[in-house]
Amino acid sequence: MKLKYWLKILIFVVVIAVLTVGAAIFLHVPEARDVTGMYGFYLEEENSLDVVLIGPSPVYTGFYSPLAYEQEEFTSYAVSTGGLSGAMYPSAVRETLQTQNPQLFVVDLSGFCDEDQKDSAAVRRWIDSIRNGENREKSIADLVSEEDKDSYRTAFIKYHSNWTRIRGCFKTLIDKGDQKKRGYSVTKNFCAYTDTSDNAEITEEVYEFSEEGFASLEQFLSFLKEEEIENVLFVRFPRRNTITDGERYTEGVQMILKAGYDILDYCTDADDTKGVYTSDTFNTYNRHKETVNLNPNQDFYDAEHVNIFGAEKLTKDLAAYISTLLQVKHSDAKAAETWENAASFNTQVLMHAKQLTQAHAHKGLYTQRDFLKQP
Amino acid sequence: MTFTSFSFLIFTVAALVVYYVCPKKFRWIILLLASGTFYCIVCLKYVPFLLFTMLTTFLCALWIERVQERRSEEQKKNKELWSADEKKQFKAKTKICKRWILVIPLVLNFGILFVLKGYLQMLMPKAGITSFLTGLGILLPLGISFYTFQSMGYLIDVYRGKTKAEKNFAKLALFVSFFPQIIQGPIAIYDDLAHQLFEGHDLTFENIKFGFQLVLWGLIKKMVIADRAAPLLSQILANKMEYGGFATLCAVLLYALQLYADFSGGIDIARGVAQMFGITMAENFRRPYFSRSLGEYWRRWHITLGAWLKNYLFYPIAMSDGFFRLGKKTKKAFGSHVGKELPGCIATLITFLVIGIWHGANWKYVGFGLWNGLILFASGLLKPVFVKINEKLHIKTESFGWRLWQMFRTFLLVLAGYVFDIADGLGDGLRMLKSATAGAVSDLAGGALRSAGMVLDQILAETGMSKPDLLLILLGLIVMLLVSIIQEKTQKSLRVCIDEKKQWLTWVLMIAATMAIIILGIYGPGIKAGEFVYMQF
Repeated sequence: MKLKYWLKILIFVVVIAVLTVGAAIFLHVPEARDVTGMYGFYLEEENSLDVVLIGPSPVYTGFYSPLAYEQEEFTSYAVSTGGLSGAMYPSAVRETLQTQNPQLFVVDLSGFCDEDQKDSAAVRRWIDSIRNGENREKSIADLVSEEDKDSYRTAFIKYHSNWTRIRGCFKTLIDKGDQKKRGYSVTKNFCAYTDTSDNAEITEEVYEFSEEGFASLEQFLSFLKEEEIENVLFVRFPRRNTITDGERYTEGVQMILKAGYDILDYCTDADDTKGVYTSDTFNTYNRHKETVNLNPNQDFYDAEHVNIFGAEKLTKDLAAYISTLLQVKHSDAKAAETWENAASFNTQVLMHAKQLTQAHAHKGLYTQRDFLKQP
Repeated sequence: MTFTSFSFLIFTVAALVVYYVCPKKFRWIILLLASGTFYCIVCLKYVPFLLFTMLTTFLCALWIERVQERRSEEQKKNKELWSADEKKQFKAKTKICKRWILVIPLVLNFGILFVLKGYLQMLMPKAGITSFLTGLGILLPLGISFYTFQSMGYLIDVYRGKTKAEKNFAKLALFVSFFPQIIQGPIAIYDDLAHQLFEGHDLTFENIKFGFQLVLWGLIKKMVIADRAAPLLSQILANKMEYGGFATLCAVLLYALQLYADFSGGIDIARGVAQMFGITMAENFRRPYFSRSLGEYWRRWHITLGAWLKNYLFYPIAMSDGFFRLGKKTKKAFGSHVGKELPGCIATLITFLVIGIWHGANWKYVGFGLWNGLILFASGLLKPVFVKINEKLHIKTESFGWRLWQMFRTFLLVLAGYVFDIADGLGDGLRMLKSATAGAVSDLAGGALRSAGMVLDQILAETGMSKPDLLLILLGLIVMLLVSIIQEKTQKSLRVCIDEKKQWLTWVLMIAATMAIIILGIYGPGIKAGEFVYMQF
């Protein structure tokens, strides 16, 4: 066979390879919000974040980093994907430490409540949102069943069928492109719920760690010890219902306190004393709903998530706590300009999102794309 | 390792590289090694069955030839000593001797097929043969029908003196086990295939390019269309009572598409891979749904099986002394047409019964064979009546409209046959036939189309598919139809047509086809590598 034919075959193979790689990037959209949220995290300047929050959706819908910056002048980012469970927290901490060295980790306790700590959909959301590398490999090894491992390593084999959601693929590409162009994420992975649960009945709810979740907590605490990470604040994010503590939860809290970490609890009511734990050295700080001024009907989207109003109140309180009591202050002037921009941008958009919520005009999650659409 | 797996791609590329790197005279050995390796990887425990067929075929072919040679020599020696009667007697004895030698491997090999495919179980349900074999871990060896038919065809050809017996066992082994065709054919004739396998071909760009194009086209049909239609079909069939007659009709139509895309796709992959080795394999499909009669359909569908049955079953029956006498008697009693056609019609009916039975050990396949056989039987005998009706009605039989009507009519007959294929049993087949006709009509009259959207949504939700998947199946159907129309008009391969005119278009289409398979193909975790429908036969 002549050389020119070999050349033709070679060109064909190269074209197919390039197109396949392109398609793999384009179609890799398991959950656009999570992917773009983590994409923004990687755009943050190295070692520029003062606080990193870890946990599932109550984290990225509850804490509004640009607002915290505006108020308390520390930088923060939610390393958070939908359904992120306690079993995935070590992976999230490792991922953070690759590019950042935060003064404080804020960890949501609800990640230990999930029955299935390695729920395949949640694991996919997390692992498919993080970069290729050592931590991703370790996370696959730790969290994924043997028969599924290959589908993570060659994700295209699974996600090639995403062509049926081609509009979503384009949107994600645009979102990532927008962040890339700016050089930073405007919302810092924050998404707002823009609806209220006006007439929802307030019931009693047991806040309990699952059996698997309790084991995850034990593992996470030993992980923190091994990695010598001391500045960790565990937070119980607010719930709409009246909360009673489960047995495993109570035991877990004592374990956390014994390990030397603080807990901040947003679930207690004013007359609730059961949630107070004290020891000589460590404290659980109860932030009553009344103190934070969280209204169960107006500030919540559903039983587990605050809406934009709730997020504003929660962020202000938590940011003040972090700043005042933990003495976290912004230490890097490098990224200050982008944070100033993000904060001023968000002040305008926040108003708009709140108006939408009051008018019940946008039900559901108000993402970065929605934020950017506003004038 | 199925044709649609990544490992098969790697295997084929590796085999191609080694084949063309090796000196020409050893290339057939590479093919043999590749075929052996392929069969061992796919189903190692069934290798003894394959070896048994190879050995019995090889030895008996040599035996038949030796008997023929010796007897010929003896006849030559005694040519002048023997009378005409003695010579005749000697010839007859030789024939009987050869026939006995032929019968041994035929009985043994078809016997194995008969037992393993569960026919014995069907005839003697209490014997518990299937459960005994299952207990031993023996199911159906991969490709057993195809390699049995191919080797027995060779043996009969040797018996008939059409083919010389192969003296080299390894070469015969290659003919029986050539890896692209062993799974589901096409069934080759020894004289057509063997010399191509043994001669060692030069590496040519045309062979690689055209072979690869055929593989791509086969993969598109299989992975993009057939495997996408399969879960929908299974879902409808599993709930056909709930969904009603209109859905049953849709299922039969979907099956027609899925079966054709699946089977012809698999054959295209096999032929394409063979072409990359420089080997041209027989065509197995010639746009069967464009047939104007059921007879024509069977000459266009699974052509190589049809040819095999015609050569080794139909002709021996139709040309036998008994049928010859039958023809003479009926000619006297019912006239020349019946006398001429009846033996052929009965032979056709028997052949189709065998085709039906070949598909599997279930009375529904007997129903499938009878349906086709009886229609051909009737249409053969009633041909003059149809001709007269056409003349009386002044129908222009070569007009486009009439041809279109014939195609539609034939397609409906084919669909009715398919009902038995997808039914759970003969009784279920008859019920489905009623449901897909009368049931569908009453459903449509009762406004089934209005509720079709809801049923469709339910099916999609239960199969985990989406509307774009449905659109893709429709698009695939349109593309297949367009390609078939062009092929039918030009009577040429579309690949050659495009390549002759615009070479750049060939490359664009190849890139598009490859990307279509990569993106639109059904594969990935949780999806079992698509098995071919005809592998089970």
